[in-house]
Amino acid sequence: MIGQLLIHALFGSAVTATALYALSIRTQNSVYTKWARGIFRGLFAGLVLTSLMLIIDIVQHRFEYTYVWSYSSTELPLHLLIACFYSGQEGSFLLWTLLVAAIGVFLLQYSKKRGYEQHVMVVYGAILCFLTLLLVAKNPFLFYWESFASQGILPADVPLQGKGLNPLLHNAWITIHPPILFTGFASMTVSFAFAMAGLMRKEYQQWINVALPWTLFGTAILGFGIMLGGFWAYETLGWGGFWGWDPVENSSLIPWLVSVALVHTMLIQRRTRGLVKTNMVLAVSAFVMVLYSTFLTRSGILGDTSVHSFVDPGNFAFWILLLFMATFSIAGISLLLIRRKDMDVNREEFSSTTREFTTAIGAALIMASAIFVTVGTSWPVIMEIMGLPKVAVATDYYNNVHMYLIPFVLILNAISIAFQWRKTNFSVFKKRYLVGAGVAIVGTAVTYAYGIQEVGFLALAFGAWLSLAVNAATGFRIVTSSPTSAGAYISHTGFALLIMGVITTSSYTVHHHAVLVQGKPVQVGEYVLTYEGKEQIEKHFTDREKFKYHVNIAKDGSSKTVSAVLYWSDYNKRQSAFLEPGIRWGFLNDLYVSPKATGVEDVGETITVQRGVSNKLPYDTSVVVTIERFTMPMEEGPGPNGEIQIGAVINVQTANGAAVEQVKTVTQITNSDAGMEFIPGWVSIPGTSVIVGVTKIVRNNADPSKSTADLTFRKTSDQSAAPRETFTIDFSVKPLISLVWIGVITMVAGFFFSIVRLIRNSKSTTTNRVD
Amino acid sequence: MLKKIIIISAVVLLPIAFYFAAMYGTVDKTTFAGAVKMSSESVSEDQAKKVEVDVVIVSAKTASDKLLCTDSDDAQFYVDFTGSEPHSPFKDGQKVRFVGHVHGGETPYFHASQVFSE
Repeated sequence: MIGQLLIHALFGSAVTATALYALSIRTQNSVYTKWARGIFRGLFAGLVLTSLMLIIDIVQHRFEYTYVWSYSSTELPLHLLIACFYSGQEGSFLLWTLLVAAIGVFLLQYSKKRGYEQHVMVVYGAILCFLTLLLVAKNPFLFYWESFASQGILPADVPLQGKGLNPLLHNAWITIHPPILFTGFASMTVSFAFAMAGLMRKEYQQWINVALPWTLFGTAILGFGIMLGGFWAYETLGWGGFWGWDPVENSSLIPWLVSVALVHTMLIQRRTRGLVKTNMVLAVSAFVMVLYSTFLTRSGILGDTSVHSFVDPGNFAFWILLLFMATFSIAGISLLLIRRKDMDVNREEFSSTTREFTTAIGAALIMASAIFVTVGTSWPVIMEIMGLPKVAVATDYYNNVHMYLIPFVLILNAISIAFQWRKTNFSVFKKRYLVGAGVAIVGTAVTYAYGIQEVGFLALAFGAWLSLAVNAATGFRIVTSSPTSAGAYISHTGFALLIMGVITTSSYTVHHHAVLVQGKPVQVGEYVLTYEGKEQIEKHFTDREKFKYHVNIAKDGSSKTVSAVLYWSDYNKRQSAFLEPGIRWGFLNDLYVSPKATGVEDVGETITVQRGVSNKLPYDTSVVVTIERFTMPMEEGPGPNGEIQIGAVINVQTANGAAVEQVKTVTQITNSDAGMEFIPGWVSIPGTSVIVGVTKIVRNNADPSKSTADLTFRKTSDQSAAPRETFTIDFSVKPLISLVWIGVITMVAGFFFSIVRLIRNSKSTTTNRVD
Repeated sequence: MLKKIIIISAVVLLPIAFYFAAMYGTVDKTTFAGAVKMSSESVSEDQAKKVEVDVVIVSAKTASDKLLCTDSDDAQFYVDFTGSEPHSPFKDGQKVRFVGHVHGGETPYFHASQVFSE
C-alpha cells in the first residue's frame, strides 16, 4: 500500500516541481525556484526510497506483490534478486526514472552554476512527469490479488513461490548491462533539455558549450551499454555473434547514432557558430528517438518480430507512451518552427576543404544510417498500418546499406582530420593524409591477399585503415603534449578498430558442425575436439537440470578445455533449450563452441526402411521385419516431459513366412535448435536376442506411404555396445574478434578524454546565476 | 553548398530507405510443402523464414489444441496459432491466410503468429 501511495506521490512531486519551475520562469521569483529545487531533490529521494522498497520486497520474497511473484523466486542468489528489480517492465521504468532523477540532481547543480537552471529543469521536470505517470500505470507494487481479482484470487491465496527469472538472464551481465544502458538513455534527456532551454531563451550558441559534455557522456555510456549487450549475447547467450540487428538492439542504436551526429555538429558550432538549427533539430531528434524506440519496444507493437520477448503493457501505458512521445516531439518541433528565423543570424558558408564541411557531411551520413535503421526497425509497424503481414526486414537490409555507408564515413573522417578548421593549409593536409593513404593502400592490399575479395569489404577495409592511420598519427602527436585533447582521435581510432574486427570476423570466421562422442577425439577443421563429459551445476534450481559439457580443444600439442551449457527448463515449458557457449578467448582468435544438442551414440546397426517394405534383421537373417504403420502423436500422448511421441508398429516374421508377431516401439521427439532429437524406446524382437528402436523418422507429407524410418538394432548380449553420450556442437574459429571489444573500449575512453577537457573548459564559461 | 547537399540527400534518402526495406521486408506466399522446403534449405541458424500460407481450416478443435488445415495443394497439416486473438473464433471450413514459419522434423507443423481473413 505504501509503495502504491509513494508512486502516486512521486508523480505529484514531479508535476509540482515542474509547475514551480514554470512559475519561476514566468514571474522571475526565486522563491519558486528554491521550492522547485527542494521538491525535485525530494522526488529523487522518493525514487531512491521506492527503489529500495522494491528491492527489499524482492529480496524478502514478498510474493504478495505481482511484480515480485512474476520475476523472482526463492532459488535466486542475491545478485540476481537485485537484478529482478528491473527485469520486468514496471521495474525497468522505475530504474529509468530513478536514473533520470539522479542525473537531474547533478544537472540541477550544473545548470544552476551556469544560469540555465529554470529553463533546463522545467523541461527535465516535464519529462519526469511522464516517467512517473508511466509508473502509476505500471505500478510495481500492485498486489497479487488485485492483479488476479477477476479470477477470484483472494489475499489468502498468495503463492509461496515466484515464477522466477528467465533463465536466459541468469548471469552477471544482467546486473551490469541494463543499468548502463538506462544511464545512457537517461543522459540523452540532458541535451534535449539544454536545447529546449536555448530555444526558450533565444540563446542559440551558449547552450552548446554547457550541453556538450553531457552529450558526450550520454553517447559514451549508451554506446558502451549497447556493446555490453553485444558482448553478453556473444559470451553468454550463445547467439554466435555480437550484433543481430534485432529491434531491441536497434532501438538503442538509433538514438546513439543521432547523438554521435549531434556531438560532431555541436563541435562544428562551437568552432564556427554555424549549424545552429541543425544542432537544435538533432538534440530534439536524439531524445525523440529515445522515446520512439521505447515506444516500439515497450508498446508490444513489434510483437513477434524479435528474438527478445515483448510484453503488452496494457492500454493505459500504451497511450501514455504514445502521448509522451507525441508531447515532446510536438513541443520540440513547434519551438523549432517558432524560432527558426531567429536562428538564421549566424549563417555562413563552409568551404568544402575545411574540417567543418567534411565533418558535417560525415554527420549527415551517420544520420542517414539512423534513418535506414529507423525505417528498418519500424517496418513491421508500417506493414501493419498498411494492413499487410507484419514482418521484420531481413538483416541483409542493414548489412548491405551499411556496407555502402560506413566506408564513406571512415574516409570522410580521415579527410576531416587531415583538414583544418576554417581554412586548410594544403601542405599540412598532404603531410597528414598521404601517409594515411599509403598505409590504407598497403593495408587493403594485405587484406586482399588474405582472401577478402568482395568489393564492399575491401572498401570497408580501406576506410578503416585510412581512418586508423590518420587518427592514430594525429592522436599520437597530440597526446604527448595534451592528453585530454586527443579524445576525438582516440574515439575514431577505436571505431576503425571496431570495423576491422567486424571485417575479420565476418569474412574469416570458419564454422564447423560436429557430433562429439564422449571420450572420442574428433578432427574438426585444424583442431582436435574431445567431449570429456558433463557436470551438473546449479542443482538448487528445481525447474531444470543444468549441465556443463566439457570439450577439450587441442592443436599442435597445446590444449584447453572449455565448458558449454545446455539445458531445458520448465520456465518455457521445455519448448526450447537454453544454451551458453564455451569460449577459448584469445587475441588472435576465439574458439567458440556453441552447443546444439545432446544424445546417445548410435551403436548397433541401423537400416532405413519404408513403410510396408520388408527387410532382413541385421543380426539374424532368418527374421524379416516390416513397418506396419506409424502411430500418430495424438494416439501416444505426450512423453514424461511433454515430448512428442510417435510409435512404429513392426511386424516380425521368419524368412520362410511363418507366423507373424507384432511389436511396437515408441520414440520420444524433442525440438532443439539443431533440429529434432529422437530418443528411442527399445523393444525385444521375439525369438531373437536383438532389440530395436526407431532413431529417426522422415515423414513424407505429400505421400505418407513413402515416409521412412531408421531402425537401429542391437544385440542384448553385447555389453561393449553400451551407447556413449554425444554432444552436438557448432564450432567456430573467430579471428581477431578481440578488435571489436578493444575498439569499443578505445572509443568510449576517447569520449571520456573529451568530457574531461570540455568540463575544464566549460568551468571557465560565463555564469548567470539565478537564485 | 552544404545545406543543398544535405537537403537533396534527405529528400532522396527516405524513398530509398523505404524501397530497400520493401525489398528486404516482404513475406513470400507459398504452400505448406513450399514452406517446409524453404525451412529445410535455410542456412540461417535462426528460425525458418516467415511465409504466408492460404488455408482452409478443416478442424478448429483438435486434441493438440492446434488447427488442422489444408492448403491449396490439399496437403493436410497442423497450425499452431500463437498470435493475437482474432475478432471471432476460428471455424471449420473458414478460409484464412496465416503468416508464420514451419517447425521442421518428422511431423512438421506451421507456427502462425498472424492471421488475415481471405
